[in-house]
Amino acid sequence: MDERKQDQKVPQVEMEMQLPDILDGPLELENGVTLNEGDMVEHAELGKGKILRIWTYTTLGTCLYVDWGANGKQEVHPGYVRKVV
Amino acid sequence: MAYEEGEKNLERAKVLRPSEVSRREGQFTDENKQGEWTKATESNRVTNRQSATHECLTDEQIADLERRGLGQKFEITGLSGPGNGSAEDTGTVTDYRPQEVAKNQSFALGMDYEDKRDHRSVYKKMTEFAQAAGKRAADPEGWKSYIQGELDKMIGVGEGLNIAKDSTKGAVAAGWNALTDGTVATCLAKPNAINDPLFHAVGGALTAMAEDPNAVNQALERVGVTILNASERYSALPNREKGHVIGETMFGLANPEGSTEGGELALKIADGVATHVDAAVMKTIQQSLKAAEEAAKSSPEVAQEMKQMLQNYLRGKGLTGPELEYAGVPKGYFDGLETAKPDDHVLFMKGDKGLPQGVKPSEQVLVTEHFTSSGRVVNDIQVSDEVLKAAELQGFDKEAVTEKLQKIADAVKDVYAQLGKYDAAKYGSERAYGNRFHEMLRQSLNNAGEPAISTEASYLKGHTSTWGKLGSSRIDISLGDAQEPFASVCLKTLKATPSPQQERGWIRNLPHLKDGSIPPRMYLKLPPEQ
Repeated sequence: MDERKQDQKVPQVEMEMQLPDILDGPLELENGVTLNEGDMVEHAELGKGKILRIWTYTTLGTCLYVDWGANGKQEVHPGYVRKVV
Repeated sequence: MAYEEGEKNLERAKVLRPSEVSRREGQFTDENKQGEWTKATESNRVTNRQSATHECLTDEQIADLERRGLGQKFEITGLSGPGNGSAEDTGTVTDYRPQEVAKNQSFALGMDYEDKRDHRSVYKKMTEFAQAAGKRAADPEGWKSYIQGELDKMIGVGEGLNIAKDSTKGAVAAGWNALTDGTVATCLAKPNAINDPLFHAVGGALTAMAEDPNAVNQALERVGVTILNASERYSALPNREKGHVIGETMFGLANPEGSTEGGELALKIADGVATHVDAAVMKTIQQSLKAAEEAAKSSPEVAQEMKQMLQNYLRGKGLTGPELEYAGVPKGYFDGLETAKPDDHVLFMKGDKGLPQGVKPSEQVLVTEHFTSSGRVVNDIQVSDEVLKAAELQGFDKEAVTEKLQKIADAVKDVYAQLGKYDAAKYGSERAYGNRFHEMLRQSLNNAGEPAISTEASYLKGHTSTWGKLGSSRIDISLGDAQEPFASVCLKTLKATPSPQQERGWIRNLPHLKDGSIPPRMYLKLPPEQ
């Protein structure tokens, strides 16, 4: 099958993904609630989870990276979670 | 032709000629030699001038020469050296006005040679040549500038490196004031290896300062530590890499400009990025040229190295010839230097996307994000035709390819969340951070147990191989059947590009696709390169 010719070239493809900028401080929502890493939050579909990171994309804005347990680690918009006290 | 060669040598020897002329002036003020000259030129003389140089000049011109201490005669060189013919035998020497090539720096010879015989008399030829020599020699300041300009071109790095290094040390002390006088803002105008961690430190400090004035001291300390780390890292670099750092960074640290209230600092950072880069580049050039004056005295070799580094730096800025001249770089300054290879840029290639040259934008796998209606973030993955075609050849459809890439993207994001941003104080070098990123990603993907994703796979002559076997090629991630992958993924946490040897190894060792072609290689950009 493969004739190995030295003049062959390896097709090169760029895989580009934007990594968000991690925010160091707590995040204050419009309703006055403050979210921080380690806080527990609840989402309508994903259930309860622990905030691992608060970060921001240039395209999307600020997101929470949350460990949802059995539902894995996923990002959500902070406006769609409720802080679990 | 012998005479022609002699004239060309005159052109090439611009630097040396004036010093020879100035040494020989004394010889011609010697009475005996004046007598010889007078006797030799007697038959051609039509005036009572005692000097052939003066013979064709007006009284005003001669008075002007004498007033400037240049009334003595000058030797005409280059006409009678061994192997040279005379103008009578070989052609015409034509005088032109000396031209200023660069302002106060460089003067072209006011002379040219026309390769044809002419029928001028000996007297005429002597007259014309004397005029040419007189005009050139009558402008010693011009020659001095010219020579200095040539010396300047040999400027190097040796002392320049030390200057920059000392500046960095000084910047540690300066760092304590940087947050309030705008120094850091200016420095941050050029994000790079040293500035990036500073940026993060200062960015965090600004937030803290806004909320708690007591946090200021802590923030300053953090800036100081960051600069210290940067300085130590710089000291450990080979000279070549130091040069890159000088060009990219040290200027910003050593040359604060502007001063505003602390409250405007954040605005200055943003403003600086947009408006101060060009000025910084300009001043870097000028500083490099100036440092060269000192370095050239101690080591021409180092001087040449600095010249090379400056060229690499400027190439990275994408400056054109006219822009360089405007910035003070003489025309032809970089003539004869090597063209930098991508591998030379170990540190921080601006604008580098981690891809070898020749990769077209269309050959791209793009991962973007969007919110669902329930506020979840999902990835959109656009797979390139090249990868899809290869996958289909090996029995994988678009959906399967997208799924594999999604898993890789998730793993990358998770490792990033665990590791955090690159922090020099925490991870040391970027290389150490990159290595750790690689290892955690490998573990993450392995733990996921995805059969169509293999990490650190080795291949030898078309078959899987044990890691480290002589002659084998290792890839970061292979996609598809491990025995017959449809693509490989190369993690780009470092700037190094594949060497030709690596390239040949991949072609030789990786299993080819079913049509005999080579599986595409995807370059996944990871921090801190973004």
